[in-house]
Formats: sequence, structure tokens, C-alpha cells
Amino acid sequence: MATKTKIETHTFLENPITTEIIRNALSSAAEEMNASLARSSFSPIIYEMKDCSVGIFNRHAELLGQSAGLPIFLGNLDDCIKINTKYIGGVDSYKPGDVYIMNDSYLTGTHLNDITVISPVFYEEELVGFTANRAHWLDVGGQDPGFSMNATEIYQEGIRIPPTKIYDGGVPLKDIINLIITNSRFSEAALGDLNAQIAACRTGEKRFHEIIGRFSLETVTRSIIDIFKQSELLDREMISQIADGVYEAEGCLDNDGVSNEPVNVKVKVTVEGEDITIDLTGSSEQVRGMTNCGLAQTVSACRVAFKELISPDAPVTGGNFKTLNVIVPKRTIFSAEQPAACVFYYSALGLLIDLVVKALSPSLKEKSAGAHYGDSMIITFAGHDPRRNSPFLNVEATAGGWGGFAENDGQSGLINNVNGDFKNLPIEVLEDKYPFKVTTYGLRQNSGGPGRNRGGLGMQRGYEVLTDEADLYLWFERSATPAWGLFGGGEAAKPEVIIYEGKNEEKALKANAKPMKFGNKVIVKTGGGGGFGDPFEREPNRVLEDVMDGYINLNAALEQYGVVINPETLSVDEEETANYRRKN
Amino acid sequence: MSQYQLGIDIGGTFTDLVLYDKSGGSYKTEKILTTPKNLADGVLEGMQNLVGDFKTIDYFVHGTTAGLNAFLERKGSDVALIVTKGFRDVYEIGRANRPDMYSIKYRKPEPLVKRRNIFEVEERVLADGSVETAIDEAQLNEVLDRIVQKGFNSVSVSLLHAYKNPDHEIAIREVIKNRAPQLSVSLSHEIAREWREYERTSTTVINGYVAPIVENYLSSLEERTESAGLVGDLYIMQSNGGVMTSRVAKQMPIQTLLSGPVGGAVGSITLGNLTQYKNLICVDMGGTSFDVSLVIDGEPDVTSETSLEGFPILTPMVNIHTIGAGGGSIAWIEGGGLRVGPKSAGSDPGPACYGKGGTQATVTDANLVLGRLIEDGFLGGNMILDKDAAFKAVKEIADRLGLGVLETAEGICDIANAKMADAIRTLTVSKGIDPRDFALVAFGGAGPMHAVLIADLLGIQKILVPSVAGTFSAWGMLQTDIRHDAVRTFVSALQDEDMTKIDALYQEMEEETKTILSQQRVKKENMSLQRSIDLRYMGQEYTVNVPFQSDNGRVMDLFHQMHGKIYGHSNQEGAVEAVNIRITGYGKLEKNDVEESNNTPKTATDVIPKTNKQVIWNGTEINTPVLMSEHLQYGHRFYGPAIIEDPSTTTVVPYGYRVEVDRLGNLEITKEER
Repeated sequence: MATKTKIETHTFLENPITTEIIRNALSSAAEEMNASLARSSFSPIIYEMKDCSVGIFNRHAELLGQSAGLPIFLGNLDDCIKINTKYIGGVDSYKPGDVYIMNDSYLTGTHLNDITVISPVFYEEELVGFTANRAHWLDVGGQDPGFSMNATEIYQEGIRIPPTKIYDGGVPLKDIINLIITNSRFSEAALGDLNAQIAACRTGEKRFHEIIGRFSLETVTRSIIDIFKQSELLDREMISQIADGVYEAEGCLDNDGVSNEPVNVKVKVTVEGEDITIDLTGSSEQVRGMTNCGLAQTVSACRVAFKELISPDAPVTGGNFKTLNVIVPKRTIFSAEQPAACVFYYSALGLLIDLVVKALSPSLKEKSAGAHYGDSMIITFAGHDPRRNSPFLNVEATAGGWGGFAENDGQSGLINNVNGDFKNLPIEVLEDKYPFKVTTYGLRQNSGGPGRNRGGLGMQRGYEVLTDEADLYLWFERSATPAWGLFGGGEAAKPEVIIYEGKNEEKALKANAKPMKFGNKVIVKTGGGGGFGDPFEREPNRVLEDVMDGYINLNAALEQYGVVINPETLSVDEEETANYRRKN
Repeated sequence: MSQYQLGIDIGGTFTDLVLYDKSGGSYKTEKILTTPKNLADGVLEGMQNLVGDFKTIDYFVHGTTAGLNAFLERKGSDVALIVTKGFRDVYEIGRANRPDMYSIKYRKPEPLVKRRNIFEVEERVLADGSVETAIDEAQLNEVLDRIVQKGFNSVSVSLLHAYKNPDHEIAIREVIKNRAPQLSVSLSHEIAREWREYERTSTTVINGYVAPIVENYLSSLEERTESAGLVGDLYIMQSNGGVMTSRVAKQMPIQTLLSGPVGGAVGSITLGNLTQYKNLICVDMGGTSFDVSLVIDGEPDVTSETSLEGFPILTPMVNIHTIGAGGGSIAWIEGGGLRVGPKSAGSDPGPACYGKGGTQATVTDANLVLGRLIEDGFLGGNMILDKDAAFKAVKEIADRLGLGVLETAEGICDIANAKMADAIRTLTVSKGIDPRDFALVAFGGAGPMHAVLIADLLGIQKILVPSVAGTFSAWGMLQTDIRHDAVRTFVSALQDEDMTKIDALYQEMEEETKTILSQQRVKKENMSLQRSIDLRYMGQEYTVNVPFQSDNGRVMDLFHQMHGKIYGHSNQEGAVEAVNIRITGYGKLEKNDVEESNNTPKTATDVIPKTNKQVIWNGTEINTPVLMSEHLQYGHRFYGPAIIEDPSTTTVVPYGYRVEVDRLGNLEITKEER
């Protein structure tokens, strides 16, 4: 492919000071949209877990400013706007005050719970851009409350909405809004969240108007061109530092939830000058279970991987990703088509992101890290609480270890890469709200991948069931591809779930509505992160520190790190260590 | 005899003192270098400079940073943490969230206690407060053997469900007191009696971490001031905006954490009362920091939960929002574009003009190049700035962008001001308020330099610069009363039978609070107690604090109303859940309130500038008057552009603003109608 010409700074159209003030103002406008959405949404999953994303766009649907809740939502609202525009017959079909909604997995890329809202922005009767956002609704209908663990078709997952107008010139189309929210088990929250999403669009529109009013449309337009150039220039500078070549990595999910077949993820990254291509050819065909993902979200995940490696700190604009090309063959898990089920669209994406980092690591050693424990490690209990005589539903995403990297050990007990700022449920709240006792909650010794910089530790959490009516649901992954190490670093421990029924002991990673009885126990253990660098190069003193803190035991210190420690005095035997490391 | 009230605020660089002379109704200030090795040295020195005879001081209030510094610099004491068996890692795992979402190298803040210093004790209390497993005394004694042997000087205890049933924590303290009475002990249910084990543990650990340091500091200060003749109590500023005696402070060291920074917010309230403004955005900008706090309807914005450097804290604190900008923000180039911040030059090496080795252009350098900052007037002439170094640093950026030096300098200030205004606007949007309904109060060394320009961007018409802007926190502390907060987690659906239980709990907490107030010599008639309750809709995590009503219908109505006000919606049908009940006790101190100062009449004279100076405004050099604050008198009125120099701060007033000097010497700056 042809390398595009390099941008020179003297080609900027506007004064860099004005451009910077406008750039900050647009980012801040997106922050305000996010604050507005969080402030007025009904569902904790939006205002606490930040399962949402907002953005402001120009009339070509190019991103001006965004504020992301979940990283995985990075940069595909622009695609949704383009799809919407095409669907309604072009930009001339927009009127001031219109609002559109959509959630079709094959268009937006994610699961049906993610509702995208789009509104055109007019300035003095001219279409100048769009405001858009996406937020996770608690329930959108479907066969099970919240979401399903064993759907095989999208029709079991909830109401499917193509690009649909819900406000016409500022007037709500009540029948259509009612039709949508009536399909939710929590229709009141759905309406509240929808109104919050519309309010967020209005907040963005108001600030967009103020910015244009202050600087003039012409100046803002010129500055936006400069802002895009800056982003593109930065991307190009960064990519050109990666050695040209073809980089490959592959792994698999354990299964799709309804079969035992592994789900393959294959990544080929080609770097040529300032261009980068991520080719997913060779990844599994679309599967019968729920690990399918729409193309738009696949592109988004590639952008996240790119950003993690290239420029984690710089805000994203429409100028980014110009030289990132994503190739996905038709009808695979990354380009799902009707009627594929998509609830767990993100399990394969989390692996994809890790694999892109792995593939490029030889050329980006300082920026890479060993793999993390993966996703989604979800344990759910649903049933009846005898203490309150009422039904309950408790869904928990479990944390694990992250990979070691050039400067430091990986973090222990941290949520996975697609769940962002998601918080765990306090034990004191859990035991008060649900009929369970937590028997243990702690780090898993020796679970981090050994390395010069060790992978973070996975953790374990035990539950004792205090009701005779509880169903267990499990979605644990990555036992077939546990977190790998880099540059000589070792692999981390796999996830494990043990179910105790009386004297019976059973292991399982996935479960759908498995009945549990009073006194049954479940222990979930998550994997660690991969190690970074040769563990025999880890300073013996750091290994000793790990033993003293119980992150590893004496055995692991010897076998994985080659460090001989006197168990009585807890001191390193330097000579024996040197001997051992030389021999092994 | 007793003639003076003294407020002292220790900052990172300077210790500020404000002395109120009751006989003359006037204020004196003093600014001396902080003495980090022994903070009390600086305090004593400043006091001696201001007051000959300590006996003449009848009220002494102090904002201490002893605890905060120990925490920020990780120089706290060695803490051992005792937890329930099976839950050793609650503290290290935290809430497992990942705020820095694009970083694959994210690390949580380094825990204050290493895992090896966390000890499990065989015991278990259940969610309803019942004891499932009693404490294993033999095993507890083994744990204590190890703690004593390892030489810790502070122990924090945080057991599961101790907020519901604290018996086991109390029993552990008894055993420690017998075994090792020298150890400082922090129990989670005494520090923060709320549910959520990680947050409560984090709070208790921080308390244990700073306790020995705060205790030592306060004891030494008590001793030294007393032997120098001071009679009466030392009052210590608390994070919640009230004061407490040093004796109580030693029991609750965590309450001193924001002892210094809250002074400004409290001072703003007083300033607002004196000037009739009840809604204030308070901007405290120093060399390296930019802190914003809010006063709404004359009340400080106190939050019951906050986090410091990533560690949650469950004690009431004045909400102070730190925004990554300040005089030290560095200008740099990325992708061919100009950026300002968030990286800061800090105070060491500091801006290029400090001459301490900094070479990168900062906002302070830009102000100096523009003439808005006077090179020999910085900190009352205590520090001479290097204008050439500032010019050189800005020029380097300007050359790379192909711009003029002055244009670039003004651009750096414009970008910084716009970012600060944007940050304030986002904060107000998240609170559901409109900045245009507020007045802006500016203080700290650099606040008044940027305040009018920031206000302009936010559509704020009125800016207040206190006469003691550079020592405003110390002044603010003089204006506050004793406060004590108590809390209990009580999760309930507010049924009739719950209301009786709640009332009983309130009475218990009120007795506790009264005891603590009377320990601080507050008379019964000067006590006031407020009941409030944290409510939420079922399923939410965060709560709204509502004034308590004994009728459950009314309390829920009030909740719907307040939820609507804060979040823009409410749900009359929604199930409401109570989470915490709270008592705030106030003890009014018998000291003179701030008077309307002296009876000086309005002056009829015009203000005379010290000098005129060429200053850049919108790219043009304009001959601008420079005024000295000491020459300003009640009744003076003048118009921007102008620069007002004060020993501790510089106020910049652009064209289009009117400045009036009020009775107390404060500047009221108003946007002129055009």
C-alpha cells in the first residue's frame, strides 16, 4: 500500500493558540455531556459503572471530542452516525431537534443492551455536526432478565432497533418511544435513561453553539482541520517508530457457551512506514453461542489496542486512526451477521486486544505488557431470598492479575480490560442484600506468571449459599489461553471454579441456571497476569520480598525464580542462588 | 488582658499567621518560611514576631499539615493491620476498579501497609451483627506477640461487619492495652462507623498511619506554647470545616487531614456573609495547585466520602476539587500543537523564572513575560524572579510554533485560563448548578492573577478578592466554630417500626456528641445538634443526605425533592432505602464575631498608582497602573486595566471591569455593562 505524505506543521490553517483553546473546549464539552448523562441517568450501571460513552462530531461524523466510560466504546459512535445518515437518505434529511436511536448488534457492533442515541446539531440553519452517546440499559427484553447465558439467536436477546427517529423536529414520537421501553422489564428506568441520553445530547449541542458563537464557524472549522492534523501527525510519528514487518499472534476462547469447540482469534499486524493493518483472517467463523461481535465494535477494539500501545494519554479525535486499516472476512465472530447471538461480544475482543499487544511487542518492548487474566469471569446467582421473601439477582464480574511490563510488576486483583472502572461488590453489602456468606476473599498465591517483572496475582472468592432456591450462572474463560508472558516471562495460572455440594466436588467454568441448595459452596479463582522478562533475572531480593508478602511461596521462589531462601532466617543464600541459576 | 485571636495555617512553603486585634478591630498578618524539620519551630517564631505576650491571646486556631504531609510523603508510622480471618487482602484488592482505562501498565496506589504486616484473627460477625465465630484469644495473643516483636507503633483494626457489632474490635483493643499500652490503636467502628469493608479499612489505616505523628506534633505544640505563656485550648481546624480542641484531635487524627486547605472554603463563607453573596465558587491557586470548592446557600459543600491519592476516606470533609493546573503548568508541543499542562514543574525546579534549574516555560513564566507579574514584587519582594529566563523559555516554544514571544506568552495564559474555566464548568454541570449564579472568590498566591479572566469565560459578573488573599486560609480559620460528626450505618426501608429504632440510635449518638462537645468546654446552651439521614433509591450505590424528619412520609418526600434537584429527576413511586444516619454537632465558641471593621468613613480621595507599567493585553502593550494594596482605602473605585500588588498576591484586572474597595479592604470586582 502507498505511504501517504507526511504532514508538515506549517500547513496549519489557524493560530495554534486558538486551535488549542477550541480543542480543549470540545473535549470539555464532551466531559460535560458525560457529567450530564451520569447525573440524570436512572441505572447504576451507567452512573456508577460508567457503561457509557459520549462524543461530539462534525458534519462529516468525524470525532471532535469524546468522553468514554468504557474503553471498548472508543471510536465507533462515528460509524453509527454514518450508518444512520445513510439509512435515512443522506444529511439533508436531518432537521434541527431530531433524535435517532439504534441498538442493532450488526450495525453498532455491541450487544442489544447498548443503546445509541444520535442528534444533529444545527447552527443558524446549517448542519454543523452531531452529538451522540451510548449507554447500557439494564434490560431490553429477551429470554432472561438482564442478559442471557445460553442464547443462540439474537431474537432471544431482546428488542432489536434499527436506526429509528424518536424526536421529529424537537417533538417526541411517543408511540415509538413507548414501543421501545415497553419491551424492557424495567421500562421506567429505560425511559429515565433514554431521557438522560437525550439531555446529554442537548448539553453537548449547547456547548457546541457557545464555542461557535465565541470563535465563529469559520475559525472553528479551520481549527478542527488543524486538530485532526495534529492527531494524525502524532499517530504517524508513533507508527513510524515501529519496525516495518509482519507481526502475528493467536489464541482462543474456551468455547462459545453452547458447545465445547474453541473459538479462535488470529491476529496479523502489518506495519509499513506510517501505515498499520490489523488482519483478523483465520479467526473463527460465526459461532452458534454468544461470542459474536458486530464489525463496528471489532474496529473499535483494534483502535483500543492501537491506542494502548501508541498514545494512551492523548485524547482521540477524528484525525486519529487514519493509517489504521482493519481487515475482517465476512461472517466471522468479528463480523457477525443475522441471526448470530452477541451478548458476550466482548470476550473475544478482550483477547484480541491482548493479542495485538503480544504481536507488536517485539518492536514495542517498552510499551507492551504480558497478557492479563482475561474476561469476563462472571458469577451470577438468581433465586429467592427466604429472609426477605423476595426474588434476587446478583451479577459479579471478578478481578484478576495483569501482565508485568518493562518498569514494574503487573497489578494484582484488577478488573479486566473491557470493564474499565467497574467496582466489585463489598462483602458487607453482599451479605446484607443476598442470601450468601462470603467464606474468603483474597489473592491467589503463585498465580502470577513468573518474570523479571512478575505478573499480577489472580484472586479467589468463596460463597456459601443460604437459601434452597438459587441458580448459579458462570461465564469463566481463558483456561485454554491463560495469560502468557513476554520476553522470557512465564504463563500465569488458569481460572478455576469449584462447586461443593455436600461431599461432592465439581469443577466447571461455565454454567447456566445450575440449581444450588442451602449450604452448597462455590469458590471462584481467577487467573494471574503474564510475566515480563526472564524470571532468573529478577533480583533475588525482590523474590524474597514476594515470599515475605506471601505472593509466592518458597517452592516457587526456587523452581520459578531460582532463588534459594533460608526458611528459618528468611534470607537469600546468594551463593546457592547463583549456583542454581547457572545450572538450570 | 485578652486582646488577640490568632489563626495559623502551615503550607508547603510558607506558614501564614493572621492576628485579630479585638480592641482595634484590625488584622495583622505574617508570612514566614515553613520549617519542615520541626513545624512547631516556624509556628513559635511567627507567633513571637506578632505577639509579645502569649497571655494576650485568648483564641488560638491552627491548621496543621503534619498529618497530610506524612501521608503525601509516605512518611507515616509503621502500621500493623488486624483483619478477620480469610479476608487479609480486602485492603490490597480494594474495589478492583481501573480508573486509568487505556493504560495496560496501571498500578493501584501503593498500599500504606504491606501484605506481610496484615494479620488475620480467627473471628466472624455476620451481616445481622450476630457472632458466628467468637475471637480465638490464644490465636489473637500469638498475633500480638508478632506485632510487638516486629516493633510497630500503631495498630489499625478493621473487622467484617464491625459497623454493626463492634464488640470484637473493642475486645481486641482491651487485649492490646494490657499487652502493649504504648501502641496507638485505631478501631474501624470508631473512625468511620459505616458499611463497606474496604473503604472503612482504608480510612482506619490512614488514621493509624498518621496518628503517632499528629499526636507527637500536637503534644509538642501544646507544651511549647504553654510554656511560652499561652493559656487555654489549642483549637485545630478539621477537614469538615469546623474546629476541635487538640485533645480531641489526638483521638481522631484523620480529621486533621485537610486541616490546612479547608480554611479558604470556611473563610469564603464568612466573606460571603459580609458581602451578601451566598453562592460562591472559591478558587485557591498556588504555585503548583489549583483547588476549587463551592459554597451553596451559605453552606460549605461537605461530602461524607472522598478519596485522597486514590485511597477512599469515609469521614466528612469539605469537598475540595483539585484540578491539574497552576502556575507551574508546563507549555509543550505535541503533534505540532501547543499544549499547557497537565504536567507541572512543581516548586522544584519550578518555573524557569525561579532560577532553580527549570528550563520549560510555565504559566508563571508567561505571566512574568506579559508584565502581569512583577519580578521584584513576588511574595512581597521575598523572591526575585528571573525575567530573562522566563523570556528564553517562552521563546523556545514560540520559535517552534513560528509565533512571537509575547503572543505565545499570552496564548499560554489564555489556554490555561480556558482550561481552568472548562474544569469549573464541568464541575458545576455535574452538580446541576449554573456558574452565572455564583460569585467567584479568589485567593492563594496566584488565584487573583487569573480570577477575573476565568470569571469572564464563565459569565460570572462578580469577583471577590479578600484583603487577606495571601493568608486567607488562616483568616478563615478564625471564623469557625466547633464541629463533631457521628454516623451509624442502619439499612432499612423506613417502615414505622424502623423509625423507633432510628430515634433510639439518634439519641445514643447525640449523647456521644454532647460528651465530646463538653469535653471541649462548650456550654449546653451553645450546643446545637442536627440530625440527617443518607437515603437512596433501592439499587443505587450513592446516597443523598437529607435533614431528618420524624415522620417517614415527610422524610421520603424531602428525599424525592432533593434527588430531583441534584440529579434532575426523581421517582415518587420508587422504593427508598436508608443507609446511614448522621449527627452533626456544633459548639458555638464565645468569641467576638468579625465586626464590620472599623468605622473609617468612605474616602473621598482618588487612588494613586505606585507606578505605571507596560503590560500586554490582547496582544497590545498598554500603559497600566500598578497599585499597592496598602494604599487602598474604603471607597476607592477604579477601572481595569490595572494591577494590584499585595505582599502575598497580585491581582490582575483587565479592561471592562470596575474595582471597588469595601469597608474591610476586600476588592469587589464587577463586570461593566457594555
